[in-house]
Amino acid sequence: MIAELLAPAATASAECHADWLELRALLAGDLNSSLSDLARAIRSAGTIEAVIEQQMRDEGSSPDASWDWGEDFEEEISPAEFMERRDDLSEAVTDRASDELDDRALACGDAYPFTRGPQHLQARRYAVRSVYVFLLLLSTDGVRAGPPGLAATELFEDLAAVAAQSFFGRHEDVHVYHFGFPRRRTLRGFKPALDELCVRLGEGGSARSRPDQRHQKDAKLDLVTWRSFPDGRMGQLVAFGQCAAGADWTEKLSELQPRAFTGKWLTEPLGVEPTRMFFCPFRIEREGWETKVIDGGLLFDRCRIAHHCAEVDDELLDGCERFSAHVLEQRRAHA
Amino acid sequence: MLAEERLLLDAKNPRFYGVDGSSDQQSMLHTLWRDFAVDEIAYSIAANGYFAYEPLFATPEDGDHVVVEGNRRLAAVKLLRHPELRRAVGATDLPKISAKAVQALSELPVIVTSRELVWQYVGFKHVNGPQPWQSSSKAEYIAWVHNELGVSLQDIAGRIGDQHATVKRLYRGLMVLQQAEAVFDPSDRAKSHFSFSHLYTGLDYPGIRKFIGLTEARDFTPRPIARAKVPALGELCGWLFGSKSRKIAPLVRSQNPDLRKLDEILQSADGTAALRQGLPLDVSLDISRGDEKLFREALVDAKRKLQEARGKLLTGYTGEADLLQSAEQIGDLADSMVDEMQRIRRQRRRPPKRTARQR
Repeated sequence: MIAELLAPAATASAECHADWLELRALLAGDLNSSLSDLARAIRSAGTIEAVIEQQMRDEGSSPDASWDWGEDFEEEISPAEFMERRDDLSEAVTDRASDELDDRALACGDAYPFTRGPQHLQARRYAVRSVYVFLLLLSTDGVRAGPPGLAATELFEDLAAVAAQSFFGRHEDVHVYHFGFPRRRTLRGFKPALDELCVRLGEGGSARSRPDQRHQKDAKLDLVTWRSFPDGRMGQLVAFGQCAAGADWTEKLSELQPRAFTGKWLTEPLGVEPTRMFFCPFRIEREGWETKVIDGGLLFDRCRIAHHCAEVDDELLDGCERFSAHVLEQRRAHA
Repeated sequence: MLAEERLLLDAKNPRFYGVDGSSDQQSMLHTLWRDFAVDEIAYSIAANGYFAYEPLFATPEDGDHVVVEGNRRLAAVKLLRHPELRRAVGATDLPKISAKAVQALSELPVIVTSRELVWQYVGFKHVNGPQPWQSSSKAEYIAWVHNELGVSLQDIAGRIGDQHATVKRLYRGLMVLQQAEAVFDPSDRAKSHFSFSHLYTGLDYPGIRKFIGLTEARDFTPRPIARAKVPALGELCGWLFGSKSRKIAPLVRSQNPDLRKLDEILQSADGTAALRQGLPLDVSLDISRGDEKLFREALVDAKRKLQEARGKLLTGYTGEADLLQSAEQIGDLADSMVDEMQRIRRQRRRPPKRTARQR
């Protein structure tokens, strides 16, 4: 759903605050946002009080105090101390958001469509025609936010394929097979597509017949990337990838299990067990990254995808731009 | 009332501390617009006019008046009145106001004063009051009042209603930073934004204080760090802020918990040595804690987790073989640990063998 740019809560993550700053820059006439904008928005939303209350609880200074300028609260914290805590918190929030923006710039490299100053973020003129902004808006506004007839999930899967290919190395021995349903470029049926994949891989035998096979669409497998050897023999670097563009992406992290997939659907095992890849348009928090890697394998979050999509063909980039321009226009109209 | 054209933005505005940009009027206007949310004020003035009961404070300088309090408001008025300035700074979002409104803003209520007389008001408003500056700007202002006007830190705190030593801590932070500049270049920090609060907060922590030799006697003086300890201060700043040129990321990403961790590490020689070798914060913390503390923490943590699992067993376990296997492995591991711990305990409690001479 398209919504206006609401003030984020002070309790929201640094990633959420950084997203807000990026969106604000994209929506501003001068393509600029500042840490002061964030501090002001958080202060005016009033959620900083909730953080102070939580701090007090954590310190055990006022475990039962309800946030209220009267009674219990006034005994525990003076207005002056409140002001000091509010200022400290406000600065800590903007510090973390600023660090997160720096991390994004580092993670994306030249693909980051913003420039930084100590206090501000400036969107580049071409920002709306960038993979990064498409992924940002896909994560904040959802797959249905684009103009009618534009399939954002397909764009996302195409970008994932480009990123995977780039990560494996742009080389004639690196291949990508689109397996995700509905299949646009490969054979439509589940079994024929599996057979074709095995032929292209040069291993795996063929599709195994199972009673529940005809109900399968893609069994969670969206794309396969591999790097082969010129000798064509078995035993190569293979990765199975899953794409998750929606807000429920965390629930999908461990859905695709390559070993189970090959055991269940191929007549012969692959020589080397495939690696798992997981693609999402969100910026994954630093905290919890490790467990998400354990669950999802090679993670391609927004920044990693953008970094590896430096060479995207014009048609795909046109689609991204159409999506982004539409979403920003809708946001401006609703603001 | 003074004509808007005669009012100038203040190059000494503490907001500009550490911000890119030169000190000519248009650059300052651009910086205020870009970095300091002038739009909120401009929208308010466009909708309501200028609130007459909120005068600007200005000081006469070179035939004009420099606004020492109210720079964002002055910037907003200038942008609303002058389309060429809006174009120059890119303030294209601002509403266009009527010719009548432009005329109404041609003169603004101003109290003509001096910087020396108005510091209490400015300090209250932006250091300890409703419209806070960032901490580095606050520190700059306090240092100016203290060093240039000769007002004691205690007096500054009293006049602006600071009851929590904020004034003294900010001042000390800035003085320490100025000393650090002999061995650390703040503009070479790894991050875009300068997290001054990491430094001024850290100066209250015992491990950090000990590491840089900060004593109570020197705490709030203009040179809080002894010359011999300035290199250590440089190391501390490297860990706090990193280095762009040497591609070193700061170890401290947030005050809680990273600054606390750094403090704990610096209380241990082993932990400090680990930091100096370039090991990550958490690894250095483990080294600083030593195996005895880590063993205790791990055991307490394991017990807590097992108790948590025990509480969920009836409703959470549905007969999975792998989980049963994990539980059996935990049981075996616990048994072997108990045996080993009992053996060590027996050894430790056994009285030492007496020598023939003692017998």
